[in-house]
Amino acid sequence: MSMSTRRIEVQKKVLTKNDVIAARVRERFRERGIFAVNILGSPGSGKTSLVELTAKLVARRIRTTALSGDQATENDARRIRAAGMPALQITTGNECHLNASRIEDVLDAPELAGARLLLIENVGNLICPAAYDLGEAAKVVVLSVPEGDDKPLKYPGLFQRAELLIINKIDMLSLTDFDPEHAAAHAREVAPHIEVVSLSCRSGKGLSGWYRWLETRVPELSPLDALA
Amino acid sequence: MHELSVAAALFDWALGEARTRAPQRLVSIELEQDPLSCLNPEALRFGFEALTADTELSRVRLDFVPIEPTYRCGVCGECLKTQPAPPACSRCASPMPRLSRESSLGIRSIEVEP
Repeated sequence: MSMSTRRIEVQKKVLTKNDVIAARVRERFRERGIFAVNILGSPGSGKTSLVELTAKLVARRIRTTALSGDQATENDARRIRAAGMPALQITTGNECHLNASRIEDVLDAPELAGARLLLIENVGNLICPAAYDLGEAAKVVVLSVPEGDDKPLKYPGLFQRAELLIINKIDMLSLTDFDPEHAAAHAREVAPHIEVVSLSCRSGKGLSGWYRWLETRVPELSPLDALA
Repeated sequence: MHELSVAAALFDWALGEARTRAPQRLVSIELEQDPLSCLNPEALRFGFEALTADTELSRVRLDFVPIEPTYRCGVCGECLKTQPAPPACSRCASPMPRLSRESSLGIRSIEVEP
């Protein structure tokens, strides 16, 4: 600082505007009894497949809606609708993440009417989406076997903010050096609180772990053993 | 590269601040950055310079100050600035305080020239 200048304390967050909108969205979810999950992960990790499978698991049990974020195309929303779940596509253009304003913009869409569970599939990316609170109740990270088991150490900012790590594509374990125990240990090293579920969206193996995680947070969901 | 979105938010704030404080000139902005902010300072600086070119903010400098991330105890609300993640709250001993939900890039101060 030069002699001719003076410093003024500010203490303000750069993304205050997003934080304020996220708090407003969270309050709207609370009023409407919606449990919102922000699903994050790399492109191709299986986020859309997880939502498709969840549609089949919960469709007749509880009103669930999906919001799918991508830079372009309606492909994911189409896939999710085909699986039986109302879905809205949010195309972000050049943006690599969803922000709270994008969620607030669609809160009154007919697809969300009566919903008790909202699955927000964020743009595929392990860095940028972590910086934006969407007003969700929980963040869930999907990490797939081909990505490698050291991702939690490489992208700690995302894993620290997540409640649950889903290790997907376990049907491919024999083709890789991926060790689920290492992945879980790495995740707990940076985020001691994190829960871990291993599954395969392709075969359905392990899906009950994901359902049980939802079941403990969404009271209207029937117990798994009550499912047909 | 979400740094451009963050730079845009910073630009909007800085423009308002510069106009409020005129005729004083905004010289620099001091930013607090924790290692879990998921932001690259050089990319943010690049985005800010691109946005401020040919504006009254074109000479404003960004300075980064490293800080520890903030964890919040879910039981007593205590804020803990530490790294790595603390195993328990230092006030009430509840396990596993969580990383604060608030965005982590903060504006600590500004430097102005009369």
